[in-house]
Amino acid sequence: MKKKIILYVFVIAMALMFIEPMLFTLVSSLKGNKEIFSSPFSLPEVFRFENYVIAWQEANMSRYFLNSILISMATVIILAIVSSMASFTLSRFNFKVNKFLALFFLLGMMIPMHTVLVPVSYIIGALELKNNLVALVLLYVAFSLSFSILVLTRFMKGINASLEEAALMDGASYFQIYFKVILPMSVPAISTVSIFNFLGAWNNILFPLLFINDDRLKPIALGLLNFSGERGSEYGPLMAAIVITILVPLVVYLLFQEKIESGLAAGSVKE
Amino acid sequence: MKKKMLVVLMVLLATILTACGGSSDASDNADGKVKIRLLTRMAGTSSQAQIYKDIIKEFEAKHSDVVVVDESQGDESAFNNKLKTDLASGTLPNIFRVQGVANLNEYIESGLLMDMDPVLKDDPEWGQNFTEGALKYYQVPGHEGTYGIPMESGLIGVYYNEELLKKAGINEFPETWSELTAAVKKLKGIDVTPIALGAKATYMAGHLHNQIFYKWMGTEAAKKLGTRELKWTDSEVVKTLEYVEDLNKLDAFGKSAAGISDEIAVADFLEGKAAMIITGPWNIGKFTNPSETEYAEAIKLAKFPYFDEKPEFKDEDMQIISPYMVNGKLEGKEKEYTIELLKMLTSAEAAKRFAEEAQFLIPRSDIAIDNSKVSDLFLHNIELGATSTGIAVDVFDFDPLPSMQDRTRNSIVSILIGGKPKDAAKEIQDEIDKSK
Repeated sequence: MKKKIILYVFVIAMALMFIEPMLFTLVSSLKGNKEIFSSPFSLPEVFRFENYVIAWQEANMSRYFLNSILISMATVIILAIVSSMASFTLSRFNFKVNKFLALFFLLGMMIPMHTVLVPVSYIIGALELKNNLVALVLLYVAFSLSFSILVLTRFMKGINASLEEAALMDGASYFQIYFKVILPMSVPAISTVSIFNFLGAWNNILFPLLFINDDRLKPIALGLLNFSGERGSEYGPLMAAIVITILVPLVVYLLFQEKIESGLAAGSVKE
Repeated sequence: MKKKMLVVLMVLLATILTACGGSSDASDNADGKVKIRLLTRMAGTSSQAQIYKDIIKEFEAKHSDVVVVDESQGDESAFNNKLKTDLASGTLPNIFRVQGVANLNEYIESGLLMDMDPVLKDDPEWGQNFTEGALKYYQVPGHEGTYGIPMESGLIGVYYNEELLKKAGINEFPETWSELTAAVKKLKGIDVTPIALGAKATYMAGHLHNQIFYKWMGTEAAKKLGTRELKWTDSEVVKTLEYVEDLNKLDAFGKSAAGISDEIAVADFLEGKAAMIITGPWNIGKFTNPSETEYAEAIKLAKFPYFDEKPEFKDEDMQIISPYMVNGKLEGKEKEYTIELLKMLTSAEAAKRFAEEAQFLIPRSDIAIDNSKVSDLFLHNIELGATSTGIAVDVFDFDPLPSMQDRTRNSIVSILIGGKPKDAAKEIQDEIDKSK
């Protein structure tokens, strides 16, 4: 009983800790600059719902919103296809190069995005790929590939080989095995990586900052910068824009929460 | 079933990619037009950013064969990220901004900055009316020419709440350091934070030290630190850091100074929780707006107090000076248009608009400001700024080491949280020695 109480106190404390910034953002999104700084934790004196209108219309958030959805969806789909194929080969075959390839993919995770900014921006500049959303999506794909392959390979290694052997006996081709046996069984893991990939693409601000300057192509994260001035920002509309921005990932997470957690644990235990 | 799913997935992907691709094509609006890229700090929702955008629109309306791509970023780290990658990948914008002076050296040597002298001479009406001190700031030692056009200026002084000072029994704003320390003690007596300072934004601590440094050693000394004629560990320089410590020991900044942001410091001042704040003209709009503060009438401006033993540095002042730089590799029509846009952004007409509508000062001597359209505080800032005998922005502006901005500011903040001035000085000097 005592243990349970401690556990609950701990869990509630953690929940409060995590919800506090979100509540703060939500409350601040209805205030003006002065009120945010003079009484940061109180409820707004006047509810300024117009902050949302300013964020949505004046800062062009509606357009950015659509762009972000397009970019994130494309990233997720390409990654799901490419990484599941790579993982299938790495986990179900014993090619000599597999070990090297696995290591090679893993190495990608060791490279922080910031260290390669200069070469990447040089390439993007030289190939005239600025303001090109396909190039942006491919960049996201490249930087998320390692993690996706790592998780999917681990998961696929855990799938019982007898299923595959049975399919082989029935005359299935390798593509059929991938597509009809392994892929359906990997859905939990693919969902997990897809959620991460979606969040990664949705939240990334650095690449669009550097490579997208056409207002019509900007994603929502970049739109948040519209409220930052050199000396001071409009925090009310900014907070409103942040609420709009986190709404989608929040809904996505709440809807797929179970899948994320089960997917993360998957592959850690072998049957 | 699965096949259907696959087909649906593929169709979805294809649609998205075409949508992405399609919109990227639409953006490719160069079609033979001259493209002018801008990367300044004029962004956000402020009125000066609005005027800046208006002028760009005006320019575009004038020239149908030009596209202006404004990539300006208000946020400092976003701006730095963009500028750094642009520099490194050789895609420098047409008009941009580099903070500091000494670090312009390498840009000049690699031909990235245009010498503005011929342009200034070519159009005397525009070029000869910039204030001399501001233009001079971009004449880099070791290079002939002027490598930036000043687009913002103004005294960074002490804004004070006269009502609170009077309440504490201070009838005149302290002119000297000893008067300042006495005032701090009196203000503590009426339970007011004497000086609002949010050291979480390290620049505020840096600005405080700049003020002390220029009043103790003069603006020329900052240049000597840059050329290494002076060391941070020299006793006189350490002394400037000790004055920061002295104020901190008097509890001049309140207990939580190290943890609060610049915006909270400004809010404290506006609400009358703090009596003074060191800042520039960009906050005047707030200080004079009755809906922002009930002390709008009581807020006044003075220069930072000088040291009794150093009256010669009384008018050695910190001023903000920000530039536009022009890409040195431009040629032909692109160059011509870029210069025209630059002139439009910094003309006497633009300066008048910036001053009257945004209380934003371009350092020109030919601005016909309609005094009824601006606040007394703004006019007073201009008057006081004109009396400076020496002008400098940040002490580290003259340092060729780019890391000195963070190093000096962080070390000064360390004094505010109990560090020793000598250690802070050594920390800064070590950074310089290490780079040799």
